[in-house]
Amino acid sequence: MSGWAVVWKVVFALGVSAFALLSVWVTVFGLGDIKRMFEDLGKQDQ
Amino acid sequence: MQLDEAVRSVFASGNFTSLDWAIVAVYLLASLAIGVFANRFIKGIAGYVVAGRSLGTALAVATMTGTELGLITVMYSAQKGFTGGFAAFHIAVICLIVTFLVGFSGFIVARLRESQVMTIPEYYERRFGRRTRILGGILLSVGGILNMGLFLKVGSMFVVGVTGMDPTGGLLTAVMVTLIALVLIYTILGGMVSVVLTDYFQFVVLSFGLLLMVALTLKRFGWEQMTEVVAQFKGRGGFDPTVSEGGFGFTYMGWQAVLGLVSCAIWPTAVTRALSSRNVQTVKRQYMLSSLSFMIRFMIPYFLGIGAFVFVMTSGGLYQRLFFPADASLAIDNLYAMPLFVSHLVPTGLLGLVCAAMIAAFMSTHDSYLLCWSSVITLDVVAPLRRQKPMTEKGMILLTRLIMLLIGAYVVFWGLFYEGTEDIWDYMGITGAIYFTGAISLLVFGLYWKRASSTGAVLALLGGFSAILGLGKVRLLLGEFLGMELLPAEVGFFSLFLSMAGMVVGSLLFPDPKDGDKREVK
Repeated sequence: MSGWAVVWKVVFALGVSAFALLSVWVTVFGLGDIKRMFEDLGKQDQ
Repeated sequence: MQLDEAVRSVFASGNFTSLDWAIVAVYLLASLAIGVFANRFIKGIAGYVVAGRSLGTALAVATMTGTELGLITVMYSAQKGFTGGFAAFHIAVICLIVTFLVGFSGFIVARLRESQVMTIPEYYERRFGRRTRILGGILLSVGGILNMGLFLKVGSMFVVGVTGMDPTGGLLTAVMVTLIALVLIYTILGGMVSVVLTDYFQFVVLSFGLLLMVALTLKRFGWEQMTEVVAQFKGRGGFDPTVSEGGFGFTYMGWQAVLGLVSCAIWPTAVTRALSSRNVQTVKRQYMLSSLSFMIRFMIPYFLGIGAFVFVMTSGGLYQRLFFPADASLAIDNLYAMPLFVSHLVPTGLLGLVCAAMIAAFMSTHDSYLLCWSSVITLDVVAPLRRQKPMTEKGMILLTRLIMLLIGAYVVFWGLFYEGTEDIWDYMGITGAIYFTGAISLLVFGLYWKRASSTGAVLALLGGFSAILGLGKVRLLLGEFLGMELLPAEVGFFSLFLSMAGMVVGSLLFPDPKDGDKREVK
């Protein structure tokens, strides 16, 4: 049981840390993607 | 059970105040404004359904996570953490591995994106012909709409629990109607463009909201106390997923691997993101990056559910008597455990933000599901049936919006009147399997086996429909008839086997004529 508890502690710590980094990355670069999406939609309209 | 005065006092003792209501109201109004704004950019059905196929990687990750990390996921996962303890984490890890491998290899999704289709049934038609598309579209809509039938009620239970409303009156119904009305307005107005935009903002609010709750839970209990309480009350089954004490075991784990593949590569709301992406490279990157989100969308709610369990077991007799009374039939629904815990964990002000994040999660799932199922009915059932008198693009958008309204009415009705006995996860798994067991066969064999034929495809779809035998009372009756206890995972594996056998046998016995080869999508 203690072995599994250690495994889950490590997996949880790594997962949450990586997700925090991903959240920051998506927040920053997602804005640029939104801008490009509207540019593309504008071109498709023309 | 009847919720008595003690329950009402527990619900009303959280930290939610009028400041939190104001934060939630501002957020919801902003979401509506986005829907109205996005409506200006909708000109054709491709723009409406797949946002003109113009999503970059970061935005694709945001919208995929926004859709798949719904409030329903948070609720049923928290319930699984509450009942299964840390052992439930294995489901999240399996999801991570399967989704990453799909992204790394491009399995199914890369070829689908290359084929330039807008929906999976559209692929069915190109590969197997029109009748397969229509049958696939019907089964997809039936399974999908049944699958989302309880979303609204469960999501509204969160709002009731976290805000401290009286759960014994008619407020749950009022919350359900209000939420579905908001989602319908901005999804009907904006289609995929508004879905993508709101998914982005919802991703931002939701991801930071979840991280905040993890930090507060750890600050309150600490990892060591949480493991001690779980060990005390759940024993080995609270940590080890290979044993049956926690409700898991090897068959369950195998079924989770199938569900992991389905949720990222077969389930239409996820695949729609792949079809909306800029190119195949974006799809593969999107999946590899999203694999982390696919794990976290389960793992953080499991953790919050474990936190709720520790909260209940360490907060005195009243909470324990409510959730674990001597007579188990008198227990209040354990779906309420996590929202109650959150309402006592997060301070006023931040609680409004967290609630907005969760409502965001609810809306981001609903908007995508509404759009997905309604566009499947329009594009894959109605339009192919009207080949002689084709619909205009305006007509298709109008029909899609009308179907959304009907589905919205259905989820209110179903949530109010459905009295199922199975838990939410089993209900969702088995209603989803009506569609996905057949879809796995069609996609995998259609994309990778040249001899797959249209007859085999129809047999595979019908074989997959047998998953309906796993639904609640039907499964119990079948078990009684066979004289054995059937698990949902066992019925699921049986349906998958039946579907694949139908595809192989049907294709070998009834191959398509020569010109059928032209339909293969390279």
